[in-house]
Amino acid sequence: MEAISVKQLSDELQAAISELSGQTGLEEVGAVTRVGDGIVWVYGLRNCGFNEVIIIDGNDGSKVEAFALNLNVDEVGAVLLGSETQVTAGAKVRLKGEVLNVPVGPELLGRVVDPLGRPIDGKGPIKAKLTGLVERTAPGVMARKPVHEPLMTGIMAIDTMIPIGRGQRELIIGDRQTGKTAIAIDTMINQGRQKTGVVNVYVAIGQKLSKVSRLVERLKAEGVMDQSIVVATGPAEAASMLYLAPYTGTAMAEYFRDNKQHALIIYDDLSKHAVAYRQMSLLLRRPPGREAYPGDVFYLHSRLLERSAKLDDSLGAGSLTALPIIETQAGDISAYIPTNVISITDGQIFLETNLFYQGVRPAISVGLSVSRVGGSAQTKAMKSVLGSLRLSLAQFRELAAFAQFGTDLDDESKQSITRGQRLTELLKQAQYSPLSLWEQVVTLLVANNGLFDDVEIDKLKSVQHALFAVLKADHQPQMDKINAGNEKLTDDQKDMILKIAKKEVKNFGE
Amino acid sequence: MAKLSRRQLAENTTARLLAGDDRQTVMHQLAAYMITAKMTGQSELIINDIATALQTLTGHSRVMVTSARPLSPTSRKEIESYLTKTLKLKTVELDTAVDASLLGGLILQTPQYELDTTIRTKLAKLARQEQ
Repeated sequence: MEAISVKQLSDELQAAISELSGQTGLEEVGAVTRVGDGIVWVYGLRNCGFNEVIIIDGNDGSKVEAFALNLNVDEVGAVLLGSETQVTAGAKVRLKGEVLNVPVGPELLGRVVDPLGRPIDGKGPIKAKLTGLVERTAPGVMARKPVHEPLMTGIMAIDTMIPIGRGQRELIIGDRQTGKTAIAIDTMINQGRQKTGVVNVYVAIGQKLSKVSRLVERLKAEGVMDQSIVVATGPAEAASMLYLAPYTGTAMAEYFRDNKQHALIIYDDLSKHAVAYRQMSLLLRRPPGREAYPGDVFYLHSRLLERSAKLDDSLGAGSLTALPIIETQAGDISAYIPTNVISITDGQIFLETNLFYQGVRPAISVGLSVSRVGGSAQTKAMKSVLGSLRLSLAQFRELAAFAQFGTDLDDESKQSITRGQRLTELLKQAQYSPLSLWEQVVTLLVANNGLFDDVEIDKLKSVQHALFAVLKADHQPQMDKINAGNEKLTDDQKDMILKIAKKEVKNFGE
Repeated sequence: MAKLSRRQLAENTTARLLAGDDRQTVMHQLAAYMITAKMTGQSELIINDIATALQTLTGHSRVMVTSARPLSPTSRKEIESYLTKTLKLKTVELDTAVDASLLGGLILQTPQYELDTTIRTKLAKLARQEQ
């Protein structure tokens, strides 16, 4: 073997360094050929990469950034991240040498930012030490672990029948004004009230800014804002901003997932995201497909939602749970975007307009809602009292429809209807009032044992609250134990709860 | 017939010119194709693409140098040496211009790349950072 000369190696290294450092001064330049509707077409930049950021010289000396989405033989199509009024044809364009990234880290907690990570809450600059890639590959098979820890929403209808686990993607779907965002907000509030330590990331995609402002105020009032990040885009913003918002939110949430923490991300909503992407794609002259969406609209959402995962123990066992929201038109869940997202997610919570106007709120359709992986994440305490709630409700719906015709019913059917009416009433829940695990467990236990059957429906909530008050005042340590959720309810615990419940029911009956 | 891309057109034209085809004939044919394909608005871009193709195929490049003061022969040699080394060229031909508003430094412009070391640009960058 040829002897290695250290001197020769040193000379070669120095030569390589000087050669490489000599190249840094030369920049590849292109020129804007056309600009309009937030899209800029650039001549040159043959070495431009997909999603790479380019810098355009603005006509007032400023710099406008864009990111490349179309790499054609003759030109590059890019989406502007700033005002197009500053960009003129012929303007010089340079490569930034990096793909889009945004600040990430704990410094963002409690802040409201735009899709580029810039603060929009007037609280000054964010001094984040790290940045995260807006577009990033999802964890692979070996990096994941099955979902097994519960993510309590505090909404009884969900936590009992459609349980969500940490790392799951559960779609919230329904028509406008059916309470989709309300479920998401309650889930965020519950993380604060139950001190779960889960970090909330709320991504508003083309939402009215007044709505976002109200949400932020509510989160502050509930004391949850300190563990939340809000990525906000309004309807007046460019399609590029709406397109980027969910990816930015995910990059911020991934920081917590990758650092052994648990995060929850809410995309409100992905229908508007798909519309923004359709606009961009049509302007970039990509061929339209079904409903004029581009061919890769499935990939648009699948690559986003795949980043939500429960990580393996070797990677810190962090998790990112996603609650994407989809707005349907006239309850049509068979439209293009809803079916896409339904097939990507691990279940859906379907909200019905009819139920909403009947006063059943949250207006969750038990028949159409499902959680594909959450069952294994349900706590032992909950499982021990759950019984056949879903089945009882389904039987009740069927019998109730039958009973409408004034048919005489046997005693068993009458009993099913009585129980069903009470269960439906108990599952109704006002907004901003999530229930803790023990409150849900106690309610279910008492209802399944028929103690509420003799209570008039309009008095049910009062009995329930009186029961909670007694248990909280006299048996707090026991309730804390149930709240931990690790163990089944013992017979002694059950007897104690049922005894107190009987007493409270009797008090209200007198 | 499928429309040729601008780059394909430039590369084809360059190859023919280098093969020794009559320049006037090649240019006439190029012009005819551009009129037929409604590409006349892109003539400047095609010329630039031809310059890039020439640089790639022959290792020769014509570079525009704009400086605040006239270049000394030593500076010219240094620039030529820098460009041949950095862009891996065989020969470099410099076109020079003087622009006192640059204050100092120079701008090198090849068909594809640019180097701006002028004091004017540095001051503008500082001003932007201050804002």
